[in-house]
Amino acid sequence: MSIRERLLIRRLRDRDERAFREVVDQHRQSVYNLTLRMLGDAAEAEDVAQEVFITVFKSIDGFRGDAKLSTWIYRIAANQCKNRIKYLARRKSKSRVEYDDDVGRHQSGGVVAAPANLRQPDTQLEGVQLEAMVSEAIASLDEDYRLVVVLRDIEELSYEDICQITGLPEGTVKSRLHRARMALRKKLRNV
Amino acid sequence: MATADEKDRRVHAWFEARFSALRDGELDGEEHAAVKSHLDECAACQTAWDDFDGALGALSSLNRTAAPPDLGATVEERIRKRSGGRFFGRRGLGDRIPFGWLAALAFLVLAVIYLLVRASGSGTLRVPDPQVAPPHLAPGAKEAMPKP
Repeated sequence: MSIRERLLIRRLRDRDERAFREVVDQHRQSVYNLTLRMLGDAAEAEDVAQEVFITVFKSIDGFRGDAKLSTWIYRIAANQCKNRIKYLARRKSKSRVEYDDDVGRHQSGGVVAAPANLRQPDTQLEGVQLEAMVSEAIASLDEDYRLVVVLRDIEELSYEDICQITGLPEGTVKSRLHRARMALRKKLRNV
Repeated sequence: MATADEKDRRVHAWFEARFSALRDGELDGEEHAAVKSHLDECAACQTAWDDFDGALGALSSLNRTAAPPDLGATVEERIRKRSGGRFFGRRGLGDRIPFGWLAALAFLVLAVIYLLVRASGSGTLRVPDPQVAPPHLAPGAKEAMPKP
């Protein structure tokens, strides 16, 4: 861990508001991407991302510093996502928001886009459709497989980081990843 | 005895099991060359590899959806609400008081007082006032004192 990161953690422990904002600015994109890919729903993803940062600040005194801060934050995010998936499954809330609506809203800076088939050129339409299909394929994976695929193939983290985040040995991570990729291959065969 | 089809399946499965490692560049030279040469010869494995590689390509081409710009502000607001505004303020009492430092300081003060008391001839910290004359005996009192 770098000296800069140590100082940042110290400031977080001292409840320094500027340090708090620094951490959110540094990690909000990666945390939000992970939660969005894991949950497949923008509103749930935003809510869980907020909970992740609240947990980070509440638990910072317990952070031992034996991993990078980013890895620790990813670990919290992964656990929060798993908990939310279980909670949603229990509630049997299966009403997933149309993914292309989410993409349109965020790409147009918070403004809800018009239906893709009315206004968008063919190439954009294809892109949105492809993204929706890929997102659906990811969402159909078992949550443990989904997590390793998102961390490795979307967030492009190293195996070492993934092992620290998931707490799994490298062999298990690799075999899960291979199975997940093979499952995606089947689902996306005609893309 | 295994049929030719079963053998083929096993061979394909052996190569498919190495797709992830091939994609991640984790095969050693010999194995990498063997897989590559098999892909050149085997149409079924080449198709499977193309599907595999295409699916992972689609994953990595996913747009990074921008995080909501007000995420930080919303988190701050939530924290303030839940902690009643105490979270970011300096804590008045509780685990933020540096008890260790206070104890060391108290010990130091006590040690200084002890040394001062030891150093003073009177056994007290009171500084003698030069304006107050030392007590002296009344005239004739010395004579009046009983002699041993």
